[in-house]
Amino acid sequence: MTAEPLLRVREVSKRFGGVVALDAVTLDVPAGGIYGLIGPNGSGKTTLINVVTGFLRADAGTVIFAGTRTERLAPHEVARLGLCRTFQASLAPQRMTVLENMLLAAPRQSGESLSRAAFAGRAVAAEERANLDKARALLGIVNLAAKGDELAGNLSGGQRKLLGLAQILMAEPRLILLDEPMAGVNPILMAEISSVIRRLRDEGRNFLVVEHNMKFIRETCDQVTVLDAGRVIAEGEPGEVLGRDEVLRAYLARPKSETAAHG
Amino acid sequence: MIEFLVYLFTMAGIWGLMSLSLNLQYGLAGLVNLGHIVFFMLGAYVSTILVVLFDAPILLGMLGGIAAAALFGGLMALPTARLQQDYWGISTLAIAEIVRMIFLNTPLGSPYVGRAFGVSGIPRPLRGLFDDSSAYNLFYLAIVIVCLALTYLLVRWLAATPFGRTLKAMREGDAVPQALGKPVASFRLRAMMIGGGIGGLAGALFAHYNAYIGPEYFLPVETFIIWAMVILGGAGNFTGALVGTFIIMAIYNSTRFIAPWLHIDAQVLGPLRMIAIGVLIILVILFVPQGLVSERRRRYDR
Repeated sequence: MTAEPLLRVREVSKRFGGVVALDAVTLDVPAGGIYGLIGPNGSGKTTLINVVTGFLRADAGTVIFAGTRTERLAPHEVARLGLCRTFQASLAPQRMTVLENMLLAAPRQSGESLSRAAFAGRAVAAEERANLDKARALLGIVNLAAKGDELAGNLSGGQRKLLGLAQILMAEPRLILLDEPMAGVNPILMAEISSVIRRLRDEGRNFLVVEHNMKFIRETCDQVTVLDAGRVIAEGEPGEVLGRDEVLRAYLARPKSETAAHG
Repeated sequence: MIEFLVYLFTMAGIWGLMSLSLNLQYGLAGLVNLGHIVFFMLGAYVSTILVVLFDAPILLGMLGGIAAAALFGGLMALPTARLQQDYWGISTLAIAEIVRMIFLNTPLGSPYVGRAFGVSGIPRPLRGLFDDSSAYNLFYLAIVIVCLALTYLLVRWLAATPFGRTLKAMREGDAVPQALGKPVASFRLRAMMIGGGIGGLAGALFAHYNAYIGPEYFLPVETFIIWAMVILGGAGNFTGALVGTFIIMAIYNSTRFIAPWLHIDAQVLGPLRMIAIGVLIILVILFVPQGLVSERRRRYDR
């Protein structure tokens, strides 16, 4: 067997009243790749992301990230373990500048402690300078270098997605969860975001991506899991999984073989 | 006239502390505190009780008032973990009224002190050094200005630290700061404690200036006036909060000069100035929603 998976989801269930959002979902995200999570609307993808990142508490099951049980942790504790997420809608604070947003994301800032900020001002200032350099370098990668002092609220939708990506990189997570990075993004920018994600994968970053865009899943993901109605219905190589009957049925509500039989 | 101006500036300075404190909580951290006056009330009462009932030195009384208000701010922050912003806002309004009701119904030392009678004869710091009361008032104005200046520097500095940056992110929702590993509850607790302490300082300064306090000074409408100051001046900008404070205080106190010209009855005057402030706020929200001095962008590149 290969090394221990980075993220292990075991028999996780979550219901909202009478609706079963997740039904004993089990999933292993290995280190060193881009892992896709797909499924039709309402299949439980975002619920799973929310459970894994501590924003929702599962009714049952366990989540283990890098050897630590996380299903009872608060969101900021999960983030501090190195599991960071973006949001479907870009939520980056709009009344802060792009650089402020980036600095916000820097991990383990001693200046967040008031006593350190007051009595170790020099160390905090040095840390800020280092973070600022890093922030500028990351903004360069996502082509936002010229926008540093712009308010995030003044960016276009696509630029906000890029900012979200750069912000998450600033946090130096071990696993990056992207919730629909391609939603509402034009094809050119989509190619750009894909290439940034691939490049970062090649540098050793790990991704778990929730996405509807099949082109992205097919071309970029190393492995994919398909959710339908809160259950895992398929997993494996994207090329093979996306051709399976049950996956087509879930997405298009009709299997290929049936179409063939009628035709 | 000079006497009046000294009074106006002293009161504006004391209220300026309140609006700096609210601007820290609302303008920076997005905490909709509708019971902000409670810090002022606690600062005033606790300092008064320590000095009048327990013969504590005035400085110690004031520090006690600041500490009590800061602790109470921390207490108020606790339900934020469970309540959504708007529900929390309503609960703060109730909390402030509950505290006021307690003071309204509690005798302090004797049956005719405290309760609705309030407390009079609150000693004024270093009063003995001055023969002349107008010279003393000028001295007290200087104390207030020093406190205001130091607080202004403190909150400006806070806003520029990584701590302040996280507060600023939180005013647009908890999700992003949480996803980036920030313990938002701890940030809110600290913002409420610092804001509470500043409010307590304002209350203590007021009690020892006015020499009398009573429950009627701490009505919910006072919180509304602090909000008016912050919204008019510009939420998120500390200079703006002070500008707003000064304008509102000037309107509030100048109506007494206008009244004789307009032949308005004194009883109508009080409600009338509240109407004037209300109309002003509506105009500001409609035409200059960022306030007179809008929030400045922090620039790193040029």
